Amino acid sequence: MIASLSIAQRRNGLAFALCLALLGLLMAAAAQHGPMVVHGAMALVLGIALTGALARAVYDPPPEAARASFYYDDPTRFGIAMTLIWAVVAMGVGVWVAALLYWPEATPAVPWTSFGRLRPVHTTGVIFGFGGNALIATSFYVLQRTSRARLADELSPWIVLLGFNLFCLWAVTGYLMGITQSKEYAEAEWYADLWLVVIWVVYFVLYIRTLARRAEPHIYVANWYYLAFILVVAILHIINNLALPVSFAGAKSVTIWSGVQDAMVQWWYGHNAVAFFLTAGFLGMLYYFLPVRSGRPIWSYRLSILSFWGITFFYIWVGSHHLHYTALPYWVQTLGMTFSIMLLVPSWASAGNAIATLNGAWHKVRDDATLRFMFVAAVFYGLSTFEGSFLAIRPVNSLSHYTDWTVGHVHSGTLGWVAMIVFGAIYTLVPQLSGRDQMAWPRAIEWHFWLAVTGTLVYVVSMWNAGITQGLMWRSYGPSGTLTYSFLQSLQAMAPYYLLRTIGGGMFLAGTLLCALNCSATARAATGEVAASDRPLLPMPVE
Amino acid sequence: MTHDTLVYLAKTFGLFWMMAFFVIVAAIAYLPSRKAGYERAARSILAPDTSPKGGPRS
Ligand code: HEM
Ligand code: HEM
Repeated sequence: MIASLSIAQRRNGLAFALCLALLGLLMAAAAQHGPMVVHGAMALVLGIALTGALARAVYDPPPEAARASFYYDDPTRFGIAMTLIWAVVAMGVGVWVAALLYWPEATPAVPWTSFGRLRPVHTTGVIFGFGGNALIATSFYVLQRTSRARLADELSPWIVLLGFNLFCLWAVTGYLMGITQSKEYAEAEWYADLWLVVIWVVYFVLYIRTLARRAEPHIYVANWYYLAFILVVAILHIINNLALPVSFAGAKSVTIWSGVQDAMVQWWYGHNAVAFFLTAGFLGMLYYFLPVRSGRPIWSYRLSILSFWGITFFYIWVGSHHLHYTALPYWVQTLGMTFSIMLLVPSWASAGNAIATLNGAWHKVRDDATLRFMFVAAVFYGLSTFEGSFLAIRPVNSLSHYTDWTVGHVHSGTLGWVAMIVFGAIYTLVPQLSGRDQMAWPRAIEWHFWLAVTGTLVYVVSMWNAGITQGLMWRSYGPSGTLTYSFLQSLQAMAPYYLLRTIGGGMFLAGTLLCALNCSATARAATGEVAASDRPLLPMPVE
Repeated sequence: MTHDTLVYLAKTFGLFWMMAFFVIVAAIAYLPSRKAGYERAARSILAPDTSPKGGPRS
């Protein structure tokens, strides 16, 4: 990692690492007690470790000038490793909290193991840790290939990756210690949020600088999606996290929004986190890796442009469908509902475009488990967006809201779509980045595929059953107008579904573990060869 | 701003803004003169060896 930095970059890196260590020290010293000290100490340790490593390397020989005629893939390799680590940890926590719902007595009498603290560890760990690292790692890869240009510099990708992972670590350890902003998917406290803004700006600038030196006249559509992801997530993150810290020496802060405005801002953020974190960037992945893997151009490039604008334009309006039948004005709810239904059009256009691309290559889908991951991802993308548009209809939502149907919808999107497309991309990338023809254990991909598909189906189908059962039990009245079932009875009825969900999740986790082992075996057997055509078009001048 | 003004704006300006937006995007995507460029772009990622070496290639 450090050997690939120029001497000037090592010096700049050293300065950044020192700043990080100082920041950590400052945080710990100012706070003196509580979680912020722990977080300060984490930054301090990371800063010192990086300072030490960089200081030792400042007088080492500079990297070879020939590096400019290769793509810079070390950050992608690191990012994929982090993706898999977060996947195993956070899905492991998912299976654990799923088991706790079936077997709550298993909760140890220690605060940090309670469901309430572990659940956000799962959601942040999978969305940001697993999804975010996958997005950053693949975006660097795709950006360089589609632009035929090397990343604009070697230092900023590391700032982005290390900084982002520090954010994720701060977030999840914070929840374990009991701090939270109480905003779903934005639970991290104010200093972590500020830190993420800095990291995100570095990411955006790196992306734009690399695009600016592209050797291809046209910006391939995958980059549009990645850019939408970077840009819109920044806007959402900043607005939803506007908060005043109670004191600069403590973790607690108070959001500047209040009442129903707060709810609206939160779900405007929340749904667009779905749209721009869990969808746009992964569509970028789909539009690059699916054609590459199947060896066929996207069925209709023009449709991909139309659906890009449809998705970015419609999604921004749909957040209020999370607040049906609340104090939010009725017309705002209707607005969100209407746009949610319209959103189905560009969503299905994208899913259909992906599936039509494979039309005529079904033999490849049959034979190649990697391509099959991408195919299943496109199908689940179609299914979960259809389901979402349906759930957004107010009377349907009156049945589904507060029930496990929502959780089923979430995981048909995240397991079936997000995780599947990530695995497809990983199995395409990792052999290539290792200079090999294929993964170390090709048969394990097949196993992973079936574990993932079966696990997803078991999870989603049991949650659909659970959700509809709950919804119906809560709205059944006896002849005298009283509720037929107590809440407790509806909870007891969930037991078999919660058990099934745990089993399905366990299968999915087993597949993920297999993937991680397979990738590490492949990386260890790397040849270091780079295909002659996998090079930037214009070698850059050497600094 | 009252609710009524907002609804009025949404039904007038909002409607035309969305329609114009759609027409512009559809034109950018579907103008016949742009077709060749897009087809080139779609194929640009498939240059011989960017596909994985072991990947299926027909
Ligand atoms: C091994 C696989 C997984 C298992 C067993 C699992 C399990 C769970 C459980 C038990 C919950 C809490 C449900 C509740 O509070 O009633 C949950 C929530 C959630 N999970 Fe997962 N999960 C898995 C994978 C994933 C992945 C890969 C993602 C995202 C990429 C994800 C995203 C979420 C989200 C966003 C929620 C919050 C849902 C809501 O508030 O409605 N999960 N998961
Ligand atoms: C056309 C696309 C979609 C629409 C219209 C849509 C709509 C909805 C609706 C109506 C809800 C339930 C809100 C409630 O009752 O509280 C919901 C929840 C959710 N959806 Fe979707 N959905 C779509 C696609 C997706 C996709 C592709 C994913 C994941 C990759 C996803 C992830 C989620 C999550 C995480 C929640 C739970 C939020 C929470 O309560 O914590 N959605 N969606």
